[in-house]
Amino acid sequence: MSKLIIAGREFNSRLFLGTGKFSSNDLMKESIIASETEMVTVAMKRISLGDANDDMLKHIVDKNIQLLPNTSGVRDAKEAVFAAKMSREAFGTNWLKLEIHPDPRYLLPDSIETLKATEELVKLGFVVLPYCQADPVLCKRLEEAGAATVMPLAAPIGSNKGLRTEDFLKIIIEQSNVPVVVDAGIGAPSHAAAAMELGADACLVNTAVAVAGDPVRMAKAFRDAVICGREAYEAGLGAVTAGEAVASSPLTSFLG
Amino acid sequence: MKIKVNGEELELQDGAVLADVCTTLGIEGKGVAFAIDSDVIPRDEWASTKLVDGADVMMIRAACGG
Repeated sequence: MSKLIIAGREFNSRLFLGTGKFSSNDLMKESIIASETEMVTVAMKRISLGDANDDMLKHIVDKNIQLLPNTSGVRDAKEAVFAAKMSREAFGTNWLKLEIHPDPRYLLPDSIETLKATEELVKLGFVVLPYCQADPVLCKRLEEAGAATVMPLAAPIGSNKGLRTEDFLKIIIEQSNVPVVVDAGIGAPSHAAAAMELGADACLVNTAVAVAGDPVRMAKAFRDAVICGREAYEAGLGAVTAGEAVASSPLTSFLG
Repeated sequence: MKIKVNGEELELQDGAVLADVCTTLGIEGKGVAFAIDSDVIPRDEWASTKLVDGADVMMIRAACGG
């Protein structure tokens, strides 16, 4: 499997892992290790003076992991820029998963605010990885604005529905000059493998691992699925026929 | 003096600076960021940013999320 390169940084893993919804910090930590991911998303919250000692970062132990702070909770570009500046101070990185989803019911990204925020954050020196609709036109606009990747959704966040946007993901992958990370909705390793076989550069998975019966084993399953899918893509999949069988064994010269 | 951190009152010694908020709460600064009146305060200014009575401080830290 070739290395993934984003904004000049090399990654051996093409699986990004989110840290939400794990039932314990220990399970999160072990799942991160098992997944062999090198990119982990984190969120931000206001400190409550009562639980000021709740530090999740101490459970992300591998120094090689790139933290990818997200802007979850912001409603527009202005709030996203503020959150980005806060995250840069908090985490000491200018990498950012830009996500602007003002509607709490479907958590679908606001394309207009996402593009506006990307333009501004790139000017401020951020490495912007925008979570976005699987909209090929929007993805080109984000690329032109300087996004380091595009991260189109497969299905609504946390839905586990798989590649509902497959036809559009194919167009985005065909057209993109920046890495395409399929984010949101991936519910099973087979979904991740399918996305990678299409030519996606990486997958971001959270819920499917965190809520699995055994998150650590599921993290390994996703690790393997992403590798398998990418290997298949790089190996070159055979063409799909119109419907009729094409023999793989000789049909003549055996029984006369 | 009293300041507000995320709307909650916090008692600090007179002349306290922003870095003292971490010390008072007993937390390291890793994964933490501050804003005063919606202005993000760079980490290297925490030790020199003087707080005034009634200051409205926003303090965030790392949380789990996807």
